[in-house]
Amino acid sequence: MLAVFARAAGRLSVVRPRDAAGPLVVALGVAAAVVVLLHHHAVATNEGMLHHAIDHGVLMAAVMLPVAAPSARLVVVRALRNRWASTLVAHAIGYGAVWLAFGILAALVIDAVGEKLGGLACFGVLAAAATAWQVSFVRRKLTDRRGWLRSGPPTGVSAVTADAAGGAGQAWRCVETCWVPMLAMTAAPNLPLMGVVLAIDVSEWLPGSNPYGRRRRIRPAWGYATLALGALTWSLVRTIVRA
Amino acid sequence: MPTRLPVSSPGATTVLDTFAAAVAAMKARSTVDEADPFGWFYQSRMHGRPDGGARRQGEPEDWSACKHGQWYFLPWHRMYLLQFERLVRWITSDDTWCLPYWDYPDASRAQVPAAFLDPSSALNDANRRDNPFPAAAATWMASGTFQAFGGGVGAPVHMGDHPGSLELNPHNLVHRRFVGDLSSFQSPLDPLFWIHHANIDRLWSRWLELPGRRNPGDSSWLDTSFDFPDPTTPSRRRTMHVREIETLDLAGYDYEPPPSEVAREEDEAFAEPAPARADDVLTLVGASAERGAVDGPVSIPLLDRATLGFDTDEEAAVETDLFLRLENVGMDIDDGAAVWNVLASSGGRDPVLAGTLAPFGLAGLTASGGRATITFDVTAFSLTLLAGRPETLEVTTELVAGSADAAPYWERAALYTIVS
Repeated sequence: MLAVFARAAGRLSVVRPRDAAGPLVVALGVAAAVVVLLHHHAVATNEGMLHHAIDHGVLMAAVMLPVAAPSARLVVVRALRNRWASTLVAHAIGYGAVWLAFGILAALVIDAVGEKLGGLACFGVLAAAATAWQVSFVRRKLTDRRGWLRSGPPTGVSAVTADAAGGAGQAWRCVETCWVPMLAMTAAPNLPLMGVVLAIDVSEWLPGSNPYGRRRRIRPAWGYATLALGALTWSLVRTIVRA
Repeated sequence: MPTRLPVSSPGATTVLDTFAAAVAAMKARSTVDEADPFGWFYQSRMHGRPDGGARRQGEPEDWSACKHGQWYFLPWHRMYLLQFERLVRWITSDDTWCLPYWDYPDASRAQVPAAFLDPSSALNDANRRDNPFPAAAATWMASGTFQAFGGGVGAPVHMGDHPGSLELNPHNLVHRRFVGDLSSFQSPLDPLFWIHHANIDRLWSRWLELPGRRNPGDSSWLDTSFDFPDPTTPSRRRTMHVREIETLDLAGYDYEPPPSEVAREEDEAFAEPAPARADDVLTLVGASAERGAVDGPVSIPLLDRATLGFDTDEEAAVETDLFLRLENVGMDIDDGAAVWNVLASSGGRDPVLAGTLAPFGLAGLTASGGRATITFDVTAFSLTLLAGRPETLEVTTELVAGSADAAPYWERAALYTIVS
């Protein structure tokens, strides 16, 4: 995640300060909103399933928004300078909306499945599923499948809708490739563990000695497998001790 | 140091004889076993399928591995040539053999060397047909940054969306200069592929000799590695990192200069290289509201008039950095021969040739859900295009080779400048 931010910031450094002001204000606003939402989620009490699901959807959108930074930069530089801030907002709204919907759906699904399996076991099973998904040929085909960022008209309402649709399309491609780990993240019993799942997910794209190609996607698979093993073992031990 | 010779030089005759013997041996290996990594078929499939599509389930990991349309285009192909060179040396037991390079002055004048036309030679490809088209302006040496020259930043996917200027011309144009294997992603089946890419590799090294030009220093580029078959190692595999081959010195070989007439043209082009530019300061000044296609003109309203300097009292007396971009270009049908000229005009004046679009691999990219962004540097025409402070810029296309059935389309035509 840090590498993504550093790279985005590095690219922005060549932009004139007055041109970058609008997008920077928007970006800082989004960052502040993420912090507030994370805090809210950490202290929120259980106020019913629907409230919980919406709360989780908002959290999911907030957590995933920074991942839109690279695509947002590309969209912004394709816009007229006086539309940079509005372009960024429209792209972020489109991106966040898809993750909001996914987050709500995921919370409802996990609530239903988790009740039957038990929280930690459910997380362990989903982490194991994430391991299999990570190395599957289906996922590889999806990640190899090329997407593209829309280039909308330069001005007008259609420009705004095109920017939002572009953000939504970008988010949908993310959902397609990492919906299983994100389900596991939803099933995580606490916030730190959610962070660990997200960090493992993002690690696939961090530079390092592990080269691109088939071997790079192995790194997150090891992470999910470790989590799955830990969660399932701990769940089993707890069941035996209780018995 | 091993030196690659121009294919037209007298010294290349024996080199080509060895090349032909190696190709014949590799073809024989493929006849016995298509999955032999050191056979001709396998080597070509490492580059790609005929349609440019992604590797299919069950196919070897090496297949459909070439990198186009992004900044790994040049290093991946350099590694590909190096592994091929090692394979030829191994198969012919000639440890001094070096791949020759095709010393064409430009794509429209790429004449097939005689050794590659002999029907009895393994260097001939029976599928090859001529596909002539007029000369296109060479703009690759004007690119100041590696991203503009060698391809945009991106993950090392099979087909990226931001080809660099060298990939557009002469790389794509020479692939399209002939219809057949060479115009498809299975182009290594035609031995011309190897000498063509040796020339592209040489032009990369020439570009690096220009003032201010350098390779990316980003570790995500330098530390990326790719695996290839290699008959000379115990594991029969070799992993190469970009940082090991990013210059000729590091890669351990050199090129003999081209013949004098080609060298003279190249020197003239290099004599006054454009100043190095940074991609990231490209600023949009106008874009079409309608989607574009080759069957009709597109109008680009010049909206950011202040950035273009239209709010000052005097018209520009010097060239303005100007880039015409066709964004999210797609193509559904490819006849393997279609080549289009992209023309730009303003104020009712005669159009100028902004660039030539040879959609090599574009249909494969489109089929796999992608689109390409094609950038033409039109700085040299800026005084003409911006004269009289026009309200719009008109973009049209003309078919110069192939069939009009193979028609690319794009989401937006846009004009960018550089804000200093």
